[in-house]
Amino acid sequence: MRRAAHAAALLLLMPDATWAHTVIPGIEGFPGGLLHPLLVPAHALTLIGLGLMAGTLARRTELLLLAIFAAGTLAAFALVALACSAMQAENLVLCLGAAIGVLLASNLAPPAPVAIVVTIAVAIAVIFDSVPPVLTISGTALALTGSALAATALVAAAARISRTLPASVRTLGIRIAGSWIAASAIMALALRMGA
Amino acid sequence: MKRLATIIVAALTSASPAFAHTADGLAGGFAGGFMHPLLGPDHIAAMLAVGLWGAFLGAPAIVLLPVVFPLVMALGAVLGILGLPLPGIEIGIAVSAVVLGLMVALAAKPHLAITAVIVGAFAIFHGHAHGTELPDGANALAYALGFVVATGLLHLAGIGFGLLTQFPRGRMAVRAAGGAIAMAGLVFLGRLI
Repeated sequence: MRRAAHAAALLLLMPDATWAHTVIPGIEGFPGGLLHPLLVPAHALTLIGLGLMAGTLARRTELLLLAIFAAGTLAAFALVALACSAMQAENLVLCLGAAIGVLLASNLAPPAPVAIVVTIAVAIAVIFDSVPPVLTISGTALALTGSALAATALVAAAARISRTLPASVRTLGIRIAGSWIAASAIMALALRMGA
Repeated sequence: MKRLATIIVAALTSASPAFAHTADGLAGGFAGGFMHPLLGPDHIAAMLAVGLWGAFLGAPAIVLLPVVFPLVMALGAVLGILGLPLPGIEIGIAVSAVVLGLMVALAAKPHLAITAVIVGAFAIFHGHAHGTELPDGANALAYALGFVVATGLLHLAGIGFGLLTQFPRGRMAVRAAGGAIAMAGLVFLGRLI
């Protein structure tokens, strides 16, 4: 009976690996993880939005956010290793994308604490939604390492583009991009909730 | 012990539904969404008119309209996706081409808030029409992104042409384009009535 209780506890603590997914069937492990944030539209949009937002802030804040994002992916990695999982992680990614898009569209620079919280939330949500459909520790670790690297690189690249855009293009371009990101995320969320 | 092993094996081999999001159909989803506004002449006319009017009004409308329109359109799409009915959608879309075209043709320059309300109201109709046709599937976001980008590019095309208003002859050409859009809107409206 006691053993059965232990087994039941183990079951409850098991990671829900089936929320996971391979983006391109057959490409798994580190390469699959690398491609994941680039090819899953919800991830790519939200990460690009986060990078664009970071690029509009002060240079020191931008660097801080990039460091926090990288640390956030590592923290999420540790949580996954501890058998934590999150339901509806992709919906959370979309919600964050919509919020970031609205901020960009309205040309509102968030205060640093808000930007930090959003950055941590995006990092954790993206990694939780990137767990591959394999139960091996090495396979999961490789894929999540790839996802964390690609996600951080994508945020950094978007921040760089945002910062280096000509001033004339920057205001209009970033606001329009934010509007598109928010609109797409809101519609995708509605479709998921309406389905 | 045997019972414990059985439970563990069952746990390891149990399959829960995979909410997979793969890249399959990603390009198709985006392309389908991208083509959707481009295949509707009424949508094209109204979107171009939004851009033309924004350019005609100058700052800050030139920034505000292409930013506000997709956001309000998304809210309209949410209504459509959730199945909330909106009467006279097709008529509303045709009227949007007439009204927005006339605004450009008449060189109307109302207060910015009124401009935003007019454009936003029509965005609801366009969004609802798109929302009811959004496919249910894993690449819904790609589809949504496709048609938002296509809509935005139509606005930008309108703004690009509308920048000709800096020149006297260009101003006439832009107003003539507005008139043509209004006429096209009347044709769309005539087909519906």
